[in-house]
Amino acid sequence: MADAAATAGAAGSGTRSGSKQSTNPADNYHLARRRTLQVVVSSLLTEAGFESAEKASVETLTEMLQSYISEIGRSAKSYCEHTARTQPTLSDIVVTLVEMGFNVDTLPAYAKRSQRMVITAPPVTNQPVTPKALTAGQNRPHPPHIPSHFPEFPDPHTYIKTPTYREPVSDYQVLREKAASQRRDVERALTRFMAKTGETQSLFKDDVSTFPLIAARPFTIPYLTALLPSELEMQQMEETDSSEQDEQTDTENLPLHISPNVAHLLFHPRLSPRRKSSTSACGSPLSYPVIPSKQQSPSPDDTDPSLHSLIRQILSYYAQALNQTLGCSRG
Amino acid sequence: MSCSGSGADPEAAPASAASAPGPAPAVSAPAALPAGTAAENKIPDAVTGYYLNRAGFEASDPRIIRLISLAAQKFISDIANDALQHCKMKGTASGSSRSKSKDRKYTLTMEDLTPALSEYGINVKKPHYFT
Repeated sequence: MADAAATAGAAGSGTRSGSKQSTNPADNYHLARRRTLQVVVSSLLTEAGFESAEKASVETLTEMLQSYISEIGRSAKSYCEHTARTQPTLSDIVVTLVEMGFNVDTLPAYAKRSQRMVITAPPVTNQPVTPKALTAGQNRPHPPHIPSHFPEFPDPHTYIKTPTYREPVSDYQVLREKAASQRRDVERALTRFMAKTGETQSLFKDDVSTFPLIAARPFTIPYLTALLPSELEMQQMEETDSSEQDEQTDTENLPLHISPNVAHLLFHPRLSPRRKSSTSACGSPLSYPVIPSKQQSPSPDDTDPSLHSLIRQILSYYAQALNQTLGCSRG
Repeated sequence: MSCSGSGADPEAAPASAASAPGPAPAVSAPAALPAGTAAENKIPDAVTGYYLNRAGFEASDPRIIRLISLAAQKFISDIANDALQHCKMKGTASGSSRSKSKDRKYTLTMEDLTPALSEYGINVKKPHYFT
């Protein structure tokens, strides 16, 4: 009978007071405990012999119970601190109860008498734990300034960004192969470009575009290269008469082109300095006049290439080309 | 709802004053501790501990929490019993039939609770209606 009445009383008080809309978890926290106190009050009333109760009375008693507990706590804490302690002891509580008008002697008798109903505590919601299958990697441990009861750090993949990059290949053989193929591709591309933009000759009569060769320009003076001094002698000549500046009288008549018959391997800038009749006016960037660099005697006013420096430049390019071909055949 | 409560009860004060000096509380209190086990308290330890923590009371011993919850329970049950006495008195005051004995249906109303609380020094005043 008592249990049925208790449940009826508790349910009645619960439904009558359950009209609040709680929003945040903090409010839920308070309300859950408040509800527990209400249930306790209802069970106490039932024990006393009441079948039902007014909602206002139950609320009054719940409020009183909550304030009573809080007041005991506050007062006991004050008594404890009054004696220069931090942890309240039994005597602090007894003195508090005495001060609040509570008869402590009747407590043991009351404890023995009330052995009927147990109210369960409000449920404690745990943090949502990620299942083991979904965790990836080690969580970072707490740094020392964070207490241990705080939640753990999340999985590291949620906040750590590791840039991915491929290690460059450092294998000697692979690198050599790559360098060789790159050089071959560069040469082929450049010669094709020259063939497309300049004059071409073809080996096959019918098929002109498949294997274009850069047109060979024969020397008008074929024996010129044999007569001219070598590069080393040219440099010495430059040093001795650096003050002399040759005019460019002869440059117009000299078709200074280096185009040996190994045309398919060469890459050279065309030197056509002052041609009036421009048959090579194709507009290719390779036919721009070359401004020779003055290493020994820098004079910014002298922009006209002297004959000696021009020839020196030609011979240096020729030497470079020869080196290249020899290097390709050897390497 | 206006509720004013004074901590000291004029009736209980002489009784508590007799037990206030030194040895008497120390003798009775340990007897209450082993008696008040967790299974007998209505208020769960978590709830009492929650309200005590809010007041600044950090309990080292769980038995202290049970003692406090027991004391609070007794407080409320004493008031309830007094209210029940008032309710019974009102029922049998005008000399109604003894056989029914108020047909064992007691409802706690504010009319019974108010005088019971006033004996403890707590004055409540509830408005009958809200305007």
